Amino acid sequence: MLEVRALTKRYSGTLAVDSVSFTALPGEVTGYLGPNGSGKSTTVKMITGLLDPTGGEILYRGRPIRDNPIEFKRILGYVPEEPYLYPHLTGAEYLELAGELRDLPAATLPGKIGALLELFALADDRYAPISSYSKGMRQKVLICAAILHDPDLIVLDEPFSGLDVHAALVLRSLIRSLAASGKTVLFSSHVLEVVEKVCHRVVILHHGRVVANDSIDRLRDLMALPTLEEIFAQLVTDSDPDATARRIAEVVRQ
Amino acid sequence: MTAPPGRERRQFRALVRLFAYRFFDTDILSVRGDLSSLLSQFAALLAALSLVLALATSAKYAGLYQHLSAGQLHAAAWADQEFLISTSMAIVGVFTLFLWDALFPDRRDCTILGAMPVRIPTVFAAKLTALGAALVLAVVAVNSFTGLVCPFLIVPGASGVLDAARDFGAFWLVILLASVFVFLLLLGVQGVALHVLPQAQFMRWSSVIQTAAFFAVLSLYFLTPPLAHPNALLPSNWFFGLFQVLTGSANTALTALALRALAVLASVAVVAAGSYALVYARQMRRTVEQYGVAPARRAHTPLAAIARLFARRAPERAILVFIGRTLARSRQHRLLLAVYAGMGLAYVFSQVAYVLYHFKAANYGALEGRAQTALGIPLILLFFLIVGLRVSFSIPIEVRANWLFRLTDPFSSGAYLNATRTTLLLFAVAPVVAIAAAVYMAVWPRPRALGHSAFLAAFGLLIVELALTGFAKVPFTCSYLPGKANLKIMFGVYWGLLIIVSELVTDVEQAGLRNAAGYAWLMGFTLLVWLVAARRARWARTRIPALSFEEQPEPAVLALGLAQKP
Repeated sequence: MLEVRALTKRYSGTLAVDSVSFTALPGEVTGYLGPNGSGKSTTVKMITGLLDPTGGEILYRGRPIRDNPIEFKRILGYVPEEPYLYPHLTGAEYLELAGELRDLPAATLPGKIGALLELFALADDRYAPISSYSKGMRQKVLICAAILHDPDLIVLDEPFSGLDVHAALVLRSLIRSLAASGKTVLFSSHVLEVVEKVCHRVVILHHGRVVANDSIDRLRDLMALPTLEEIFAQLVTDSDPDATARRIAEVVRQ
Repeated sequence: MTAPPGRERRQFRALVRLFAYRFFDTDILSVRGDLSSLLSQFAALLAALSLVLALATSAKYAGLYQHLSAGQLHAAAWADQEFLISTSMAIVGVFTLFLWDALFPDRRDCTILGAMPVRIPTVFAAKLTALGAALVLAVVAVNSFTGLVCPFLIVPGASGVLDAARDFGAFWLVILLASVFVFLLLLGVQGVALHVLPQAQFMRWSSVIQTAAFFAVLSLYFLTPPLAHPNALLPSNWFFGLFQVLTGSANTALTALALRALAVLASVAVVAAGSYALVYARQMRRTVEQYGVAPARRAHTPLAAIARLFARRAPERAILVFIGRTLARSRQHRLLLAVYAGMGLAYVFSQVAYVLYHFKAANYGALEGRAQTALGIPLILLFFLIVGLRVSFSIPIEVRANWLFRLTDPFSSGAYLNATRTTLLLFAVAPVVAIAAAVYMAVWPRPRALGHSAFLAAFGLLIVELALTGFAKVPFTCSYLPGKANLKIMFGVYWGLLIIVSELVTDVEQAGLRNAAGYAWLMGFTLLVWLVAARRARWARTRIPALSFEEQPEPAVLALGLAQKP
């Protein structure tokens, strides 16, 4: 179980994440939603250890992750929001690097990498440099690297970005089966249709604060709204989207 | 439809600015890094060199005018004229090779600008203007002091204001033409390669051509003998001839050299212009269609096999292979390494040239001088190679991709540092020792050859340990902060130390190689110092809280930014 308690991050006087608390349970997919700039990626970076929190605590299996960050990072799989990879390496070389950094057995690593590349339809491009990959191909490499070591906790930040329809369907099914096998999945995305289909519960963030934290069914009942999209719009949208669109069109025509 | 001239001018200005900034890869900079400090350091280095040369020339001629005859003065002046011209040519050559990847519009330029409403001629004109401005800045920086002083000193017999004005104008004109010649020659070489080779092959061979040209420029500069009689094969001599003609010489041999200078300048200008025009016609689309990095063809490389042989743990192997692949495929890092290797070679070449040109007779002094040079060469090369690798480790590649290492570093940080050390031993110490041993075995008696090779290996171990003192990073993953080290001072200090230490070490070693006890003492002392340094490094490593990925850490006290402008 991943538990986030009163997590806060402040940048030069700006409060990016304001006392955020939620729990992600094993066997479940927890959706982490919010508009741009709401603090989602900052939270994710604090959970993965890329950023230090200004305040609060992150616990995994009841223990603060800062007590033993080594062990925590061993069981963590992470797909970052931006597909930053080493462009001079090939897809296979990048996965080899990730596998060896995680000290995976040398005997099984090449086979595992080959199988993953095959299943993600990257086998033909395995020896091409990542600099030549499309956005979707880079995303597939990131997903492979995140699950290569069979992690217990998987943090996915916009994992569907750039994926084609088939790969997106595969990933959606993969997320469900990873959770079904007892793993904890934290899933941050703007694609609400997918979140609605995949997640057991959602945490919605607005201006750095949690504005909703419950199962999607309970949120529907509580707010008397039929879809997650409408729930989301009601909780976090500051202005009428149609009115904003009309104003944009007017500005463009000026 | 033609764009209005006002819009084109604005686009042109924006593009010149963009290309000028693209000459330096700003992605590598630390979050608070300042590009202007990087540029000013480079300019200051060139200007400092010019100041030293100007002072040395002034001091030399203050003495020469009183003591030498007119004929001797002319001979000295000829050598200095050629030296100043060839120095400018060499520096412009190195500078152009630094900008090698930016000489023609690259894939990023083509992809981004191809979708913009900008005429291709505007793009190319802006590119050429930015390149021209960079070239002029480099030429002015490297002649900032010599160009003000030397024209009035190195032309004996000149008198009066008119002569002074003529010599001043001739100096700057010849320096500029010689620099333009080198620049256009290298531009033409790349342009021809772009058209002759398929794009994938060009990507593969471009860096080889760049590195080869780099060593050619350095070799030509340092191995050219001091000018006694002009040589029609040497480019710097052609422009020396031009300077002579412009300053009033009527010598037919020099006139022929001057004509050759103008002819080759015109030829390279035609080739460079032609290749640029062809690129303009067809290259932009071709570049977009192709990969930006030379493709890897094989699943298993010798590098992976070497890593398996020398690294026990998987993270150690991973870093070793990562370092090897980055050095092999990143042009920026390879060029940086070539610069350091080139500096080492430059010193070596100058030593070889000194021995060749000063010890002609096979007397005892010549043999001793040659033996000392032979001992010193691998030491110098080793030093520069290790320092070059260490410096290249500090320059990141795709710094934002370091999150992978940041997610894994705590449980492998010891392995990372071991892998870095192994890399220096494998890529610097091992090849230099192996090549040196092979050469020594061929020319020296076996005990002497083996003795020196063993000392070289021990010296290599020591330098590696010293080079890694305080290095708590995964190579190529930490952002770079220009201005952190004062290059002007550090470079001078290291260079001076190196010269003193290498002279001292070769003296001691030469004495040590003559008797077993002396040699044992020397080896024992070197190994003891290495052992102490290694122990100290191991102790220091236990005190490192975490590896560093950002050169400038977040401040302990965060400012609220209330005084900042909105």
